[in-house]
Amino acid sequence: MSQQNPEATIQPTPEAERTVLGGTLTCPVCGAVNALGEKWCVDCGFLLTESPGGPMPSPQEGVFAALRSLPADVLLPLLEGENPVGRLSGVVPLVSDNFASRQHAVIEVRPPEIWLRDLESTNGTFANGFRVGPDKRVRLFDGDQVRFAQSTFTVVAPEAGARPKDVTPTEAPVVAEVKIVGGPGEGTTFALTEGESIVGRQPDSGVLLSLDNYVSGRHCKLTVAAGAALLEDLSSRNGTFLNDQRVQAGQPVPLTPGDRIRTGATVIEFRFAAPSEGARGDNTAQEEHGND
Amino acid sequence: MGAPPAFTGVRLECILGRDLESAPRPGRVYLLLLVSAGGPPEVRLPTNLCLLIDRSGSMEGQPLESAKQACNYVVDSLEANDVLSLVMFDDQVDVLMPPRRVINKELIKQHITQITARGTTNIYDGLAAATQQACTLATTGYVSRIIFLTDGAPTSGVKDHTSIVGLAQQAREAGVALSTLGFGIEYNEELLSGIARAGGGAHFYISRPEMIPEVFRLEIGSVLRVIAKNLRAELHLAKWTQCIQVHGKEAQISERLVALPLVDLEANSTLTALAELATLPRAPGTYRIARALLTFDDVASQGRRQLEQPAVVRFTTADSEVPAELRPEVARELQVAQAARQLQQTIVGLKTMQLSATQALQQLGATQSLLAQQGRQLEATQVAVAISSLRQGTPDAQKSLAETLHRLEMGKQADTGAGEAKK
Repeated sequence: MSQQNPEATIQPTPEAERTVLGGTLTCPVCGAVNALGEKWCVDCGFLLTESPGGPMPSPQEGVFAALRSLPADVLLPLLEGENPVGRLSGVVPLVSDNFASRQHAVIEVRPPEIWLRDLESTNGTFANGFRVGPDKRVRLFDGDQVRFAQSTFTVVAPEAGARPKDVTPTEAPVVAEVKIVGGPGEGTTFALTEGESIVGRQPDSGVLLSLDNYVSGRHCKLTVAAGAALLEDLSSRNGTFLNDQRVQAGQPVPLTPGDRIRTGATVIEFRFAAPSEGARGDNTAQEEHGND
Repeated sequence: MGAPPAFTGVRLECILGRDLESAPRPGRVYLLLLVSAGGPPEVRLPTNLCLLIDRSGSMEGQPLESAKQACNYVVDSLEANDVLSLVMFDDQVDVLMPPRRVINKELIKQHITQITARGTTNIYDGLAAATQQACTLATTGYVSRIIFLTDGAPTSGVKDHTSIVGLAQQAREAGVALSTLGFGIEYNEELLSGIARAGGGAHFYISRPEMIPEVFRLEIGSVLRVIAKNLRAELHLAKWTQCIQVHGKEAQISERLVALPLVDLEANSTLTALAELATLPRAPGTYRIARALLTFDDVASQGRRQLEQPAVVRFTTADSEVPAELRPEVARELQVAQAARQLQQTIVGLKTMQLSATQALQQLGATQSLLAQQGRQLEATQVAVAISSLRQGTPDAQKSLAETLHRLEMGKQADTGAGEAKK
């Protein structure tokens, strides 16, 4: 008994001031562990003295449109009305994308329509690989891929319907496409329009190969005009190879369908778009935009 | 228990556009922060004031005389505990008086009388010297402010706007607010309002030299009424709540925290900030979607204080219960924010010449009536003045509009209207 004396002399803490060790309460909504006595859940803010009035809605329930971030696979619901997109704020914050502008773009949700507008961003806004011109707006459909600088998202909006087959986001028709057939990002397809497309790691590239560290910022250039296509190396550090033959910088070489271009560790395959589809797409796209 | 005693002089309110939102749908929630102060404190904290005066050649004559008169007025309105410093600049910078107690007023006035106009305009070095002078005493024991009067754009020294505005930012971080007074039509209103914005001070446009003393009087009055300084508001967001923007303010927005500095709080006035939040779908129930925190230096007790308010929303599955309208005071702030945005667009349009005069007049007319409807009579009147000067083709419309925009974005309102109505 005498051995316990030291402990016996310690005054017990009054009940009110004692910290309840190990006393916890799990939030019924988000599952966060709270100390006993907390009024609001530390994580989701739920009033812990109540119980939830219903189950958690599934992520897509009640949401007309959302963006699914790639490759992180996070679903960001969009609000009805204007949804600002920007580096530091906005419904779609681009916190980790240093190439995004502060006020990058706006997605307008007016069921059943969704529109995308670029706010003169430095590194561009892209819909299905097409750059959205400053102060232009393009309509988005379910399954479309949008890119703000380096951040890519898929549009999830089943009620908005899928994109009509021949309608591209811009007025220009698709004349060719390249597909990554080897290296990082394998399987990704980029649509090309008439004119020049830059292949590189710089965020404003039409064919963005940001995952491959062996690709230069502006690596090479694809020019498609009047049914012909040219490939030109832009003095890239690791060179551009056409069917394993090195292409001399500044000397354009012709491309034929099925050609394989290697830039860094990435291999892309070139193909013209099916001519009939291209021609039809042209007309439809023009009409669509005429109606807007 | 151990909580500090509640401080009654400064109040923080957190008003939501709606208390009830839809649980299964993503929602847009407006949160209005109101920081208000009651009557003047019993003890006024001594001021640490720095007057930064442009004495470049263009100020010669009436403008410089008025500026001197204004400086004399400032000297007269200060007391022996107050500290004043005087910095004059042209292409060179003279510290006419380092920070000194205002004891021998006549001697100080003599110094002021001897100022003569000369040279070009080196805003950067002038500002740097003033910041240095004011910062030597920028402690909790003083209300520190730089009042900067100029009539020109930077013509010598460092001219790039980012560096100049950076100085104002530094001053503010050191606890010195910076107000800018632009005189005439030569100065760059974008630069001066930018300095005031970064410096957490006011921005005035002065069209006639005889108005210089009056504006100094207004500004010194506002310095003497400060009852809280270094205000910083924070919103700590709960899960499933995101900040879309804080209207008209450059807030630092991260995933769960929104931080915004506010200007000094004066007696009988209110500061407002309107945050636009997005709430994600969730299980129905009551949630504290955000905690609003305000920290400030309390002038009366000379200590750092903190106030906290919760923003509580009930989320329901019955969409029909969710009111369609926002609470009137929140709707009003939203309209004012809208007016400020319109105004900014008009200013940019005028500057880039993308707007014709007719279009600009139309837009300004709309902004004016919007402001008048929301009870912002002072700003509405200023826009009306700008409209008439635009009609007459006088070049100062953009100057006065920049002042109005700055006023709207500061979110400062006098409760009684006493201070503002005098102008």
